[in-house]
Amino acid sequence: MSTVARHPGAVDDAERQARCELAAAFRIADHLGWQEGMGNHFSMVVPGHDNHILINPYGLLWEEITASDLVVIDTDGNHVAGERKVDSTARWIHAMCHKAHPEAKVILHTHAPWSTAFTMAEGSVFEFSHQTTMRFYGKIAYDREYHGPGDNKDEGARLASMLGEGNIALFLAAHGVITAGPSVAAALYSMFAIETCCRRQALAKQFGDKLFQIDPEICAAGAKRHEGTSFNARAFLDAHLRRLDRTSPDFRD
Amino acid sequence: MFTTALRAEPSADAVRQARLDLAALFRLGARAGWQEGCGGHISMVVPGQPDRILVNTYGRWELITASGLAIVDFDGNRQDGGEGRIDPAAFFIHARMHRAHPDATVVLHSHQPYATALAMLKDPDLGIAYQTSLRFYGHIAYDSEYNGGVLDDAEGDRMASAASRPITFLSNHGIMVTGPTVPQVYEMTFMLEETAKRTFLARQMGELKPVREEVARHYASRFRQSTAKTADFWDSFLQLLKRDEGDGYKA
Repeated sequence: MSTVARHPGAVDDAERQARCELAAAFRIADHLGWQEGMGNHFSMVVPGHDNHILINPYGLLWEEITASDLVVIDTDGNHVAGERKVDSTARWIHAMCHKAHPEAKVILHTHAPWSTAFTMAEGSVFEFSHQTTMRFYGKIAYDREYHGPGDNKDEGARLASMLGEGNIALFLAAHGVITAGPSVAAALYSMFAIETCCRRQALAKQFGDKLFQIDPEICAAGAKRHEGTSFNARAFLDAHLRRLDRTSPDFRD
Repeated sequence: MFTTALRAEPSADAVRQARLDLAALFRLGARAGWQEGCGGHISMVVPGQPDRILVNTYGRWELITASGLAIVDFDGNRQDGGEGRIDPAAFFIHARMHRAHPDATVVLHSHQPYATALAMLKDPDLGIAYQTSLRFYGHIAYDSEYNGGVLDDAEGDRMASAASRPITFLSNHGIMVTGPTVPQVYEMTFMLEETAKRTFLARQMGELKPVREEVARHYASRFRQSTAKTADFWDSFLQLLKRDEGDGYKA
């Protein structure tokens, strides 16, 4: 652990940058229609403090979240800094996922409509039938039984183990989806791609025929090409950051 | 003073607050896309006057103001305020609902898209295939009878007796949501539509996979949110309304 002692309120440049990107992710996710009510949560490891994570407190809509609203908890679920409280599901899902997967610097959890509907249907299988799906080849996990919202340490740890090593997305039965990545750009783009792919798969299936299956070798190559933070993931975040700086720059506050 | 009033004198402040809350609820419902044309109505028992209700007059929800809401008694006599006419269906549904369910301070009736689409199906079951729907477990009634509009006391009474739970799917018609406060009804209606939307999408993908009964039961009461969470939910959306529309609803 590279953790150094932290005194409350001390925010260095790297953390400030992290806070801005995570706050932007909430604004972008809201813009894309992924928030349900005021639920769900995104988290990010504080740069240079591997066991501290930034996360949104309960009681704020994503469209109003600013960089300074984010609170800090540790990977054992303890409150570290910030005035507002974190929802118990936010605390345990994210603390346990970061603890089990230190390479995943960013964890997003949403109930985005199409990917959530996908988790409500019996025996859903994500099919590799479209170019955008390939980035998930060999990197998707399924939790096939709903056990609860993840509001305690054990369930958080169970979900973290379901995410598994090296996966970037986890479908949660009757619940929603988690994406994980080395950066805000990567995890956000995975969430965007999952939602898009679930929608496209549902639409294609209405035609009634079986879906075309992309050759597994081509899928594997596609997944490899998009490992880490892909060029298009970074470009997607940068473009939305420019939009936010024009329309609602207060996310950096 | 030792007089005991037969009816508690309503506090002007409490009535004013009820008007503000209800007007804001209409505007938030409009933003969420719950209104069809100029239809749909929400009513609230006037504080301190259990036999009178606040209700909207016919028109668009996003134009509703606190002073524009009408007060009417259970016999249909206009008491106070309001511009325009009260839709007869609004009166017959809401007067009979409040008479039958005195605990339901707020009664919302809308044709919001996804929940209404479910109400058009032979089997409108929302299912228990989704975490967010667990809060509705055991709280939904289904009125499978449709007799045309609600244009008299008898049909209003029939509907009110079918609406035995906080949420009712009205066949071929829409939904009814009742609750003790405006924020609770807002949150419940909001989450109902979100759930109905996801149910609608999931049904295109296959059969719903139900959550195990004991898990659903266990979490049902937990998800009927705490009052504090509901207050946060309401406050946040109210701030959005004020940010985007100013204080217009307070007029």
